[in-house]
Formats: sequence, C-alpha cells, structure tokens
Amino acid sequence: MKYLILSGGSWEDYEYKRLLELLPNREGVCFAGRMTSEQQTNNQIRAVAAADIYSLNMKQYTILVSSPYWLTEVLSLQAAYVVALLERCPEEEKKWLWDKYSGLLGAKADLVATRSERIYLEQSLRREGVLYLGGDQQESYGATFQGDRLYFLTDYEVLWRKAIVNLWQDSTISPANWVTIQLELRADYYISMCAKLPSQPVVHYLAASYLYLLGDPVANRYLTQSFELMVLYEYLDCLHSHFRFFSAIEGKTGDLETAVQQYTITAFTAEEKRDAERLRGWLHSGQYELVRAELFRLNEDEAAAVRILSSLTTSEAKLLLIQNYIRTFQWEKALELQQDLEGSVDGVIEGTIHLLHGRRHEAIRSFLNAAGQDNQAWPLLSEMADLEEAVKRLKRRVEG
Amino acid sequence: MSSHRWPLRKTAGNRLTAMMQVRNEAGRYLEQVLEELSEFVDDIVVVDDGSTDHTAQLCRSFAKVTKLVTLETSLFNREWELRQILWDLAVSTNPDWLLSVDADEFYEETAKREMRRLIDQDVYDWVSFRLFDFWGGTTHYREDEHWNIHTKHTRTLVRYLPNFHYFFPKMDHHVPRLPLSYSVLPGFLAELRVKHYGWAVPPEELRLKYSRYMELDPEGRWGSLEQYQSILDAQPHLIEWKE
Amino acid sequence: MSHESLNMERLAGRYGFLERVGLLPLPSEDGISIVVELSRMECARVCLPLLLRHSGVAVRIIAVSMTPDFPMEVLARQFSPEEPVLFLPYEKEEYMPNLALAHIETTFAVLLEDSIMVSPGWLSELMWASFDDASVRVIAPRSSTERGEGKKRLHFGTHHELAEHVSYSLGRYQGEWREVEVLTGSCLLFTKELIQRIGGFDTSLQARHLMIADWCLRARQIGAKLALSEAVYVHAIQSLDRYLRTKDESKQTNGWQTYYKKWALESGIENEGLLVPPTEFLKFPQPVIPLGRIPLASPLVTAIVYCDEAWDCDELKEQWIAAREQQSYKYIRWIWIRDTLLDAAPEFPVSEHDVVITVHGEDGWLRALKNASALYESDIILYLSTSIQYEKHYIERVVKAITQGSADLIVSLSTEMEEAGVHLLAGGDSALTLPLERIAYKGGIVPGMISNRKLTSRQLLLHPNASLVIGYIGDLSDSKEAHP
Repeated sequence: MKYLILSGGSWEDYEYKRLLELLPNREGVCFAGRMTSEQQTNNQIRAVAAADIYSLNMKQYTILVSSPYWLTEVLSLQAAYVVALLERCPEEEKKWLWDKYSGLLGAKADLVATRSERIYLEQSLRREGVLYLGGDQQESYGATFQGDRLYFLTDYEVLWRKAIVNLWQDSTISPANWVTIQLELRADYYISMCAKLPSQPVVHYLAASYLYLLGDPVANRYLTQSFELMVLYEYLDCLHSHFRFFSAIEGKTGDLETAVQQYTITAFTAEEKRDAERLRGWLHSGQYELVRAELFRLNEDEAAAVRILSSLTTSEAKLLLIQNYIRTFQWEKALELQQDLEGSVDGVIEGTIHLLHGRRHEAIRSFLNAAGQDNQAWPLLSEMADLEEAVKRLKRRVEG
Repeated sequence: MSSHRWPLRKTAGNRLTAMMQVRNEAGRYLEQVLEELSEFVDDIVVVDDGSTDHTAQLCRSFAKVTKLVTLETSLFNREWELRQILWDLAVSTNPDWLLSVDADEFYEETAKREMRRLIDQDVYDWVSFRLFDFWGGTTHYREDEHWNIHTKHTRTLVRYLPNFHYFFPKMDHHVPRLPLSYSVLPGFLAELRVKHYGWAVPPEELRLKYSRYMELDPEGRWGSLEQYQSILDAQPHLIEWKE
Repeated sequence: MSHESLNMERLAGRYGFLERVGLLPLPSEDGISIVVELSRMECARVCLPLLLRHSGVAVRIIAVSMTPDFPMEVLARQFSPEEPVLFLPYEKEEYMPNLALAHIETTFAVLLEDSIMVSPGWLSELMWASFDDASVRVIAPRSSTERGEGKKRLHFGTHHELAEHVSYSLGRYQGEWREVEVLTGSCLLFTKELIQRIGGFDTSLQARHLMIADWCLRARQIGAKLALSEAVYVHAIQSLDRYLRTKDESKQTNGWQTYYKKWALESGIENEGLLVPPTEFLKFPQPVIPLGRIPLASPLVTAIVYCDEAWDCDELKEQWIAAREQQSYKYIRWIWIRDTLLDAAPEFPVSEHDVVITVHGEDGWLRALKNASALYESDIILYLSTSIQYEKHYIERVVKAITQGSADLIVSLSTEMEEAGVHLLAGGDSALTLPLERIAYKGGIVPGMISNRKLTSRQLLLHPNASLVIGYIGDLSDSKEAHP
C-alpha cells in the first residue's frame, strides 16, 4: 500500500512520524509539502509539492490527513482510503470553523484516529471505526521488523496497524474487533482508577461511558456512583449531564419503558417535553426501534441512532435519520435523503457541500437561498472567506 | 404494581402521602399532628423506631395511617438506615407526592390550603418551606445566631418519580429526611411556614434535652457545642408569631 | 585504596568489558539448549531470530507448538536447515514443554515463551550465577512476567533502546543477583541435572505461572537455590487478546485451588497473593513429574555400596574409589552402607553429595540395604559390593539395558562384557536367587528379599519377586555366579 501524507504543517512539525514508521505494508510514502533531501532519505519518504499530488495514481493510495482544511483536496483526490488524524483546534485557528470542518472530515474518512481522548469519545458517538492514539499501559504489546529495525509497539500502535490493515479487508470476514479491544482497555483503565479514587465523579463517569459503548450493563453501577458523588459534592447541575445518561444505558441494555421514563424525568423545556411525548407515543404503538434510536440521539449517541435507523424503511425513520446525518456531519447522505423525502434541501448544508467540492458559485447561491431576505447570508459568505484563508495558511505552512 | 406511570408528572389528581418516623411521642404533639394531617393528606405512613410507650397504638387509631412498621430495636444511632426504611415504606405505596413530617411539626393554615395547588403542576418536583423553631411555648419562635432555620428553606414535600435514583448519604446523624438526589431536580421555595414545637417546652425539659445531647455527643461531633450550650440560655431572643 | 583491591577492580572491569561485548564464550562446554513455547506467531518470528543472534554460538533452540493451530511450518521456513533450531509439533496428550525438556542434552537449559525478546549479553550473565554459588540451579532475569521483586514493567520504542537499557544495566549491576523464594516468569535458566531430579511441570495447576512456581518450590525442596539477576532484563510482549473478553476465568481459579492444596496454603488469598508456603512445608517432598514419553537421556541412578568383607586394606580402598571416579556414567547418587561392627575405619572416603548410613550389626545392615533405595526417587537402583572391581562402563551398560529393555530387573553376568543385548529369563521361577552385587532394577518396584548367603561371612543374595520380568546381560558362558 502507498501512503500520502496531508499534514497540518511542515515536515519538522509533523507529529505522527513514528506512526509513519509503523505503517503496515509500506510500499511507498509521499509527503505533500517540502522536505530536504536528507530528510527524505532518512525517513524513506518522497516529498511532493502540494500542487503535484494530483499526478499520483490515487487509487493505490491511502491518505493520512491531519488538518481539516485539506478536505477539498481529499474529496477531489478520491483515494482508495482516507485516514483522518483529528486534533484539537490549534490556538491560531478559529474554533468554530476548525470544529465544523474537522467534523466533516471525520465523517468522510474511512478511519478516524486521534490523540485526544475527548475527541475519541466524541467521535465514537458519531461513527464507527475510531482509534485512540494513546493509552495507559506500561508495557509493549507487539513487535515488528520494519526494514532492518525492530520496533516494539504500544497497545495503540498495535491497533493502528490492525485498523489500517482492516480497511483493506472485507468487513464481513474480519470484523473490526480492534475497536472493542480499545474500548475494553479504556474501560479497564477507568475501572482501576475508580478503585484508586473512589470519590472522584469524573473517573466513574468515564468508566460508565466506556462500559456503555461496550454495551455492558455494569455501566449503570459506575454512573450511579458518579451521580451520587456529584450530588454529594453539590454539583447540582447534573440532571442532564449525568442522570439523563441512564436512559441511554437502559435503552441499550435494559428495559425500554424505564429508559423513556428516565428521559422524561429530565424533560422540562417545551422541546424536551415534545420529545418525551413522542417517545411515549412510539412506545405505546410498538415502534420500539424508533424509541431506541431517539433515546440515543437525545443522549448524543448519534452513531447508535444511525445504526438503527439506516436499516428501517419508514419515512418517519428516514426523517429522523436525516437529523442524525446532519448532526454527524454526514451531509451528503442527509442531502440525498432530504431530496428524496422532502423535495427541498437545507441551503447551508448544500452550500457547504458545494464549497467542499470546489463549486464556489453554486455554494454562494445555496447560501443566499438559505439566508433568505434578512441578510443572514453574511455569516455564511464570511465563512467561505475564512475557509479560503485557512486553506491558504495551511498551504504556506506545508510548503515551508 | 406498575412502576411505569404516564404521565410522569400529573397536573391533577395527585395523591398526597405523609411520612413520619416516631419514637415515644405519645403524650406530646403526635396526636394533634396526626389530626391535622388527616385533614389535608390522603395517606400517612409511619415507622415507629422502637417506641416503648403506646405511640404505635396511637398511630393506628387514625384511619389515614395506612402503613405502620414497628422496629424492634431503635435505629436512632444509624440514621441513614432509619431514613431508608421509612423511604422504602413510603415508596411501596406507589405515592404521587410525599410530605415528610415530624411528630412535632404543624403546617400553617395557608400552607394547608395551598397544598393541592402546590402539587398539581408539572413544573417542579419538590417544595421547601420555612421552618420555625418555637421556643418555650407555642406563641413565640426563637431567632439568634444558633437558631435561624427559618431564614433558610427546608425541603419537606417531594414528587415521587419511580425511575429516578434515590439515595441518602451513609451517615449516622444529620441525614436529610428526604433523598439527597432531589437537589438536582427543579424545586419551589415557598414562603409558607411550618411550626416546629420540639423546643416549645418548659425549662426543665429543655435542660433534659440539653443533657441528652451532651451525653450523646460530648465532643460536638454531630452538632455545635455552642448550639447545645445555647439551649440553656436564660433569656433567648424570641419573636411573636403572627398568623 | 589498597594495591590489591585496585588490581581486583581493574581485572573486574576488564572482564566485565569482555563479557559485555561478547568476546567471552559461554561458561558451558556443551553449549546451551533453549526451549521456546510457541503460541503467538507475530512474536515467535521475532523472538527466535533474536535468540539466535544474541545468545552466543553454542546455542540450540527447541521450539515447541503450544497449540494445535500454530503455523509451525510457516515459521520453520524462516530458518535454514543449518541453523540450530528444532521444531516439535503439537501433540495432543502431552504438555509440550515437558516433552521438550526430555530432549535436553546440554548442562544448561533455558525455558521461555515466544513473547520474550532478548538483547546482547543476556545469557552468559544469567549462567554465571550457578558458578558463583553451586546450589543455584534456577536463575531468572527481571521482566514484566515475574512477580514481586523480579517484576519490571517497561516499554521501549525499538530493540535498540532495549539493548541500550540492558547494556547499561549490565554495566552497572553485572555479577549481582539475589536469592529468591519463588519464580514465576516467562524466562528461566536451569540445569539439566535439576530436571532430572524433579522432573517437569505439573499440568494440574493449569496456569503457567503456577506451574513454574510449583516447579521452583520443588527445586528448593531438593536443596536448589533460586536466583534473580539484578543485571539482566528481558522484554516480554503482552497480548491484547484478553481484551476480547473471551476470558476463561474458571480455569484460572481451579489452578489456584490445586496449588493451594498442594502446598498447604490458605485459599482466599487471590491473584497477587502468596505463592510460597512457610519453610516447614517445603520439607514434605512432592512427587516427581515425569518428562514426556521419550525416555530420559540420562536417568538418575542410585548406587548402594556395601562392604561384605572387612575393607581395611588402604590400597584396595583407594583402588575402589578411583574405579568409582572413573565410571563413565555420571548421574549417580551414592549411598554407602557401613557396618561399624565390621569396618572400624574412622574415615570414609566419600564426596559431598554422597550419603553414608552407619549401622551396627548385620540385622541393621540388611535393613539399611533394603531401605536405602527409598532415599532418592531414582529411575534405576543398583547394588555394588566393594569386594568387586567393576569395569569402567559397567553402570552405563546397566542403565542402557534397563532403559531400553522391558525388564524390571537386570542381572549382569560378568563385570566385564562387550556390548550385548538383554536376554530375558524365563519367568516365574520362584526359587531363583541372584547375587546382589550384580543387580540393577527400575525405580518404583520392590525387587524382592535380601538375605545373607553364608553363615560365616557375608555374601548377599536377592530373591526376586515372582512377578518381575528379569533380564540378564553378558554371556552365559562367562557366568560364575548366576544361577539359571
């Protein structure tokens, strides 16, 4: 397999050099940007000017991209596989722009990997196949010869290789159990931390989160602990952040009606009350899959919601699916469904997609439509300008 | 009994259940309290914490006392357990709203009248009142640096939500009378008053109470020594109660 | 600093340098055998080349498949036929390491799992401990697989970093090791003699670390010391497979129960718990676990020596002792039965490992002769009389006859003979008597009754049990003593 690196800055600043050394089946690696000839020899990487990446035969490449502002290129290159290395917003970038395009990049990628645990959890609730590039194990979990060098691998480095190899394999034959392994590692770590820090609500909450992702009902026990600790310490604003989570756990592993009741306890605003009513209605009419999907969405586990809804055929399910697609930045899918179901589409979403595909005029038209009469187009158009600025800055850094 | 009820928060037809823990209250205010409660609540559940007088019989003589549990040995020193037992008992009746009452607490008339309106809504899940410590008699309450509970609100009225998580902190003393977890739910601070007659007793009894506290807690671990001391104040600052 | 100690330091420094750069050979003439337990392919394909590269020249690897589906043929293809690696495929009814131990022919051996990664200088430093102290027979390096003091959890990015770390450690702590109560890890160095004495691993304990601990305790029972090297570290690669939640917890618990029962430990002390029983419990000997179905290359022999005549001539005595030293077969435990009534000599020329049983009078003497065989759990027991000069290969031939034949008991018809096979006697002759000084039999059987033939002097006979299969070696025509 050949690899193309689309980085967030210069080669000197590239933060994933060791992961590059460990790439499986490493036939050739290109770096889009500038490298000295010494750097190229030492690292066995070929530098390619950003402008020239289109000359590569991208069907043979896996892209490793670590800045959301490469998204337009990623979409037009149409490589065999895309691995997104998501990062927290750097200081010099605008957060809302970074987060939006990171979200879009994450949705487009075949594999998402991140060194930030927060992003790891966030992405795990949005999509399948997320890798955490970190861990707390003190030992080595793998050994491999790369060239003439023998490497010892950390737990996540073993999984990095497994995850990439898994991309090329048929998912029906070899399921991505590396995801489970990593969730187990995280769960085990936090469970041991709970034993060491029995009065710390955060570690209990994290233990519960990972157990929930694993579908383990023991998550309840840890969430209970966390909730009680929050109350004891008088962090009283935890009804939504902590108690509502019970409804997701119950929805996944327990009784659906209890789950809906638990959600209803936390429903006070008009919108929440409407959602609660809707859940009850579906419950009583036996539409359990919709109840489950909505419970997950209301708990921000859109990935779980999508899993359920995408196999349902009713228009009600599809409407919910659109919402989930939008929230998980799978905007092209959202658009398609919207077109099918409603005939009309969300202008902002449509505009962004045009923009990403380099269709500026169409983008502007969509944004203007979405904005309507009252001059709301300005923020959207200004976003276009911001994006273009960000991309320019990126290219400058990369070319050194 | 179904633990799944709809709607979760009823805006009409809520049953009000009073819950009490008692210990050797015969001959004090218990009878009066039960009489008044019978006027404005629908049920009363009682846990008798090992009374050695005829407290239990007294309770049973009231029709609205639908559940009474007598403990063989007192759990006075294990307050958490006692609270849990009373809570479990109250919850077993599948209540809508619960009013936690002590054997010497009286709700003022306005409060009694407002009760239904307080509970027949779906905006908040608990109500707290102003509690007044009457001193030496039933005409005046005490107000000074150690005796000012009326300047705060005390939560005594709660909506029972079957699938919420309820717990009491596992302490031996000073355990709140209702599960702590209510604090995260929205509540209402009512300017309605509750009269506490526990200290509305003659000086000899105050002295007895003082000795009892000093015996139980000589080092002031569960309460302030100064506050215990103030029980004996010859000239406490009292304010006249106005209806 | 005195002149002498300065010189010692310098010499030590020079020696240490030679050792670390690998210029010194291993302190073992016959090289070393390394048994590798193969269970993880991705580790095995790295572990074996590292062993070949960093263990010195005289290394022989015996790689055993621990599971039926281990792709041994694929791994074997990585090595050319000249490379000293022997592959033993998985066998269903056997515990593979026990089988492999039976193949060991060198004085020293190592047992390790394929997850162990070694670096230069790891081996000789381990071996030296047994030379520093002769009773050290098991030595382990530090690793993440040991428990207690031996446990060291580290991660290195590359093998180079590992080698640097170990090199530094060797430089700093070379020569340092300490005695420990038990070892449980994935890398052990031990002597072949030890496995012959205590046998292999007790599979009823199920968990590997318990089997190792049990084996180490059995070693201590026969007086062996366990050592933990301060200087050497080997890198164990952990596995992520246990995170797939196919854990078989019940199996683990059973092993612990068995272990606790076996060593009289209180149960309830879980995982990180006690492995070592109080010292007094080490006195109760545990049974030897036989090594696989392949017969031992060198079974242990108990030689019971007795004087049936007064042995007071010094010259004869010296001759006998010398002849004993010259016996070609080496794995012998000598037991001397000495009757002070007959033999008043104050000194008895024995070596350190010998046992002397002193009795007074014939009855005691006969009893001692009968019971002496129970002292060691040997594979072969034979009787020798000091009135006979046995030829150099006597014991060796007898051992061969017993191990290769089906006879329970062997009579050698002459003390000098050529290579000859074993002839079985027609069985069932209850009146048969055999000269005791020519008898050898398999451990674990009761040979029969011993009696004194003559009234005035001692010439011992064995009346073999009728149920035994008896064979003889040597030419019948040579026989002077045998009674057909």
